[in-house]
Formats: sequence, C-alpha cells, structure tokens
Amino acid sequence: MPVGRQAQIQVRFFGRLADVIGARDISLSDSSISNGETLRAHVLTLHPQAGDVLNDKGTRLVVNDEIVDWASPLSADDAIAIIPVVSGG
Amino acid sequence: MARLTQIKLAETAFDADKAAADFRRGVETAGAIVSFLGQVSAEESDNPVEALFLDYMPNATLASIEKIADAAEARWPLLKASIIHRVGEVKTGAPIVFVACAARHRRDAFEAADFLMDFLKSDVLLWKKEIRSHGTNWIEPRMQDYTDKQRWEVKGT
Repeated sequence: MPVGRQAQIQVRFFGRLADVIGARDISLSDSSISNGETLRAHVLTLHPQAGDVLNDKGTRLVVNDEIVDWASPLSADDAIAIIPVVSGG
Repeated sequence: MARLTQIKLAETAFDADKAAADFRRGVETAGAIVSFLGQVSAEESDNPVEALFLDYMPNATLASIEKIADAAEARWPLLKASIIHRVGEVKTGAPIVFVACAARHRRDAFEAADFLMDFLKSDVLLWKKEIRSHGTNWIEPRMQDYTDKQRWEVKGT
C-alpha cells in the first residue's frame, strides 16, 4: 500500500541515530512521504537535533533489510530503517 | 552451493575454548586450522571503557556477515569456517568475535581468517558504543579499518 494520508509508516533507527532521536521506532503519518528523501526531510523537521547524523553522507536507508537508494519509493508495508555509518565489528 | 561457514550472532557470552573445540570437530584431518579471538580490550585511563554495546539489525546484520563469508569461500579453498560475533553489551575482557578457518594448507587458512576479520571490522552492520565509567561514546569508523580492507583488493580490477 503506498504511503497515503491515512497510512502509518514505522521507521526504526540504529546506533547513534537512535540515541539522538531518542527512540528506536517512530510512527509517521504524512501523505508527503513518498520516498526516502521525503522521509528524511520529515524526520529532520520532527527531530532537528538529529540533523548532523541524518545529513551525513554515510547515513543510509534500509528497506526490508536491504540498503537502498534514498530516492527509492516507500510503501506503508515496508520495514523501514535509517542507519548511521557503521563502526564494524 | 551451500554456505560452509557457520555464522552466529550471540546475544550472550560465548565460550571461546568450546567454540575452538567444536570447530575442530569434523575437520580433524585438515592440514591447517587458524582461529582468531577478539576481546574487548582494557585501557589505562581515568575514564576507562567498562563495556561495549553493539547495536545491530538481526536480519540485515546477519546478511552482511554472510556476504563476507561468501566472498572468503569464493576466494580460498576452505574446508570449514566459523564466525561468532557478540551483540548487545560485552564487558571488558570478554570475547567479542571468534573466527576460524580450516583448509588443506596453512596459507589459505591464515589469509581467509585475516580477510574475514578485516571485512568484519569495516563492512558489518554493527554500531559500537563505549560504556565508560563516566558517560558513553559511539565509535566512529577508523581509517585503519578501510586501509586494512584495501589490502585485499585484487590488482587490475
């Protein structure tokens, strides 16, 4: 189901991003969220303190356990995560 | 072809001696077994690290390790390999990663284990936070991790 006015999308955060957002998960409902870029802009509006991490070039979008391009379209059925640069094992 | 590397993300402490003994089972006649144990290191400091916290995404983190294992298996003629990586909170001095490789010849086992560790240090979807006596600190990737990985680039590609 495409993200629409009534649809809720769940977004998970990991590493330092979860710390600066202050939550592992958030739920969003906004018809303007159609892809990763609009999602990032929306999260940034809600959590401006996370700007440094969200805008870092190493921060990536994960959809259904796959790293994808920020321009990728999103569906309310997707498992969506935003991850900061990894520190490795 | 089925993956021969056994991979485990361990949410609780693992016994490194048992891991090494278990690994040897089934490859008793291999010419070479190389194993590596990484531990959370202690340091002299007024504000020492007491533990690491490793954040992870269960499916995606496992998949990122599988990708590295597949690359090692494609490059060296391994008989068996094992990767155990801790996630969650790991106290100073505790095992954090175990890697073992068995091969007919020692060079293949040495190189494959070295390769696995270099890529585990740089490419796996893990986020590490130092828990210190006073405060916490997320660990940034180090340039050394990238240069270690670059050693394995095949010349001419």
